[in-house]
Amino acid sequence: MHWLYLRFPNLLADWLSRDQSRALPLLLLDKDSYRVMQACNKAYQLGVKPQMSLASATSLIGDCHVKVYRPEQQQRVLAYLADLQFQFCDRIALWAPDGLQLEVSGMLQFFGGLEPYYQAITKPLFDSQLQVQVGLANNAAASRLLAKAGVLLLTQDAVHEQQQIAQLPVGLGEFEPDVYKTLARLGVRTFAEILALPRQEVAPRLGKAVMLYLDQLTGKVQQGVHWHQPPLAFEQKLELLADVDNAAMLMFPLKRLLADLQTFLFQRQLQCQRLDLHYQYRELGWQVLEIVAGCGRYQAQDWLAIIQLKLEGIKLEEPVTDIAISAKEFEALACIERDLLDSNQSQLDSPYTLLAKLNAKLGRSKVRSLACVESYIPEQAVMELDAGFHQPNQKKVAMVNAKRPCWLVQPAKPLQDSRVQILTGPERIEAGWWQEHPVCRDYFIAKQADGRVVWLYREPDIGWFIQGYW
Amino acid sequence: MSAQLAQLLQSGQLWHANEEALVQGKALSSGFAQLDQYLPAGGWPQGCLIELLTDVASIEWPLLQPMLTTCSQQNRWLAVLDPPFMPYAPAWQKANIEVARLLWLKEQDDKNKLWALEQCLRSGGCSVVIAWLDKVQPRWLRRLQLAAEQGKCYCFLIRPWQAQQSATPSALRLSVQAQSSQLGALQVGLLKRRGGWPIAPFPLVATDWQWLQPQSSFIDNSIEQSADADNLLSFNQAQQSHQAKQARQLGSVSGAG
Repeated sequence: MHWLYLRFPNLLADWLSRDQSRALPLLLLDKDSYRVMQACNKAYQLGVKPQMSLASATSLIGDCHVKVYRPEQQQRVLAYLADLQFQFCDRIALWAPDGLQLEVSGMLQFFGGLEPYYQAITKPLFDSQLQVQVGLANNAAASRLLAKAGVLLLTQDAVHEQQQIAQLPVGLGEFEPDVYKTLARLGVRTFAEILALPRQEVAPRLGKAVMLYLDQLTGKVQQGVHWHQPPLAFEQKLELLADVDNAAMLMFPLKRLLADLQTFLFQRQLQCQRLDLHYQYRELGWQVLEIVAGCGRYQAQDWLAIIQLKLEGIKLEEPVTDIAISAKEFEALACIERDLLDSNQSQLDSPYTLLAKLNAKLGRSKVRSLACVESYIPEQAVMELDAGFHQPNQKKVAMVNAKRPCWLVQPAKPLQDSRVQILTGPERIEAGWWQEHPVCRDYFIAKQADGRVVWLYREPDIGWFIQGYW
Repeated sequence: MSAQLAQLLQSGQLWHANEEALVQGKALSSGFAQLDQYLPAGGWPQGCLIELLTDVASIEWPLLQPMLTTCSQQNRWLAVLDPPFMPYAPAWQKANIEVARLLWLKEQDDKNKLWALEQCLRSGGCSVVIAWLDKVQPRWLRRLQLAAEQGKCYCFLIRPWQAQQSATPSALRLSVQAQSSQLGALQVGLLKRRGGWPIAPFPLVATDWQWLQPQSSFIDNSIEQSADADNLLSFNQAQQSHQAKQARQLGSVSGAG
């Protein structure tokens, strides 16, 4: 087995400040001590160091964004990065707070060896402006140690690997704080020295946990790992660096979220028809906006166009501090049907794109579709539904074989002008007596004084109503 | 012909009224031979605004139904924008219109209506767009005309009678009125058409409206109906007597056979 460890020492700060080259520097502080936990690259270049106090850091860099470091936020980012690695490896474990442990031996043959594999997996990470340290070793503990030490071994030679480990200082190991003190008292500085100590004598002094770690490091014991299972749901949150009080200004951060969505969907060869756009007001909390595309989509630009229309109709009541996108229902990625012979069509939108635009701007309650329903009661023989989600050419509904008007007056309105001439009728419709509201009506087709043909009905003891027009 | 005149003709600012072929592109038969002969290119022109001026909203249905039936074969929407009533799906289906292609836009706000109309026309996602518009500025009509050309769909604007008084950039403007003397018939006139003179209103009878012609016994009885039950009673009696008569006739026919 061969193991790869990816360590992101500055994960959250890098993640929050990516693509923000022109924004102010970012500092992430410990929530208790208010010392710098992480900072963006720009801040590091200006001389900020971890554990620096907020006062010294700001005196170095001047204006900056300051946020509290939240471990659960980093955990989410880490899980997302793990999902991204699935194109290179199927055995991935999250190593909180800042690492990913990958078991890569199954992939080496496919990529043609360790070196090409290393190149393939690290290229997108280096491109993403995230600081990353990579360790490769024959066991998991060693790969973590080598990553932390910054030693890259592009070989599967176990002997050479142990030699390298032996030279490393014990300070890089994963020990409890008091173990470091014990080791210092013993005068042990490198792993070579600790491994050279006689096991029976040193074990009681250092404890079981240390011995287990040393056994793992030398490959005598295999470490159990809890593999990460990516959930089939997309949820990505973005904390805005500055409050936004104009809906149009949300478009830029949304672009990043949608690009992540596109990657998520494309890797799984999926598309989705709807997603939820969440935004958090400073005081009022989270709000949800449902975005419906009308047909399955995965491309960020398509979603962006739809969301833009949706946001045009929205007025923010308060400044927005965070935004998020979530999608739960997916379908297999399908190509869009196009008429190959109609060259003109390529520049035009598909009917579904049109539907998505209309839905976004007018709202789904105004963009309707109709279907026929088997019912004797005229107004129940037609059903209103959201446009686009029922397929044509479905089984034809059996209908009453009688004349029906093309326009329905719904609800029926009382007949005001009694100057009508009856043409045919009555057609008695008596139905629904098994339901709550039974219907008993006599229908007539009649001509109004102005020449229009109307569909009338008479309900005993109530009166005459206009039900439809031809 | 003077050089100036020739230049105007060349630039398209002046045209011969007898040139029928001015409207380029496809046309779809309206389903009425009589109407087709007057329409440029022999049918409803594609990618042009067609204005229908009516005194009563929604009577234009028989005129549009054959075209809707043909167009619902395409994999695009049949959009109806803010119709005065709810489209009654069973009747549309009976006319062989694919109801699943029907897109019913209930928007009533004028600004949003124009936006939606332009999107529908421009996108190419609709084969037919029928919009009920009360007030619209000529500037918007020109904009819609451009959108319709781009999206290549059949666009009908149903407008009130008063719109006659304002000028229009649309290619076709028809007047549609119910004809009170003949049932199911419309009076259709061409107020404006590209490449031809206006045509005075003429009657148009939809073929599937024959059923509406009342039977003789009914016309004799023609009951002025009012909303009271006595009249209905007399009407019912009349109908019963009519049915009895029919039954007798049938009996005698079968007896003869």
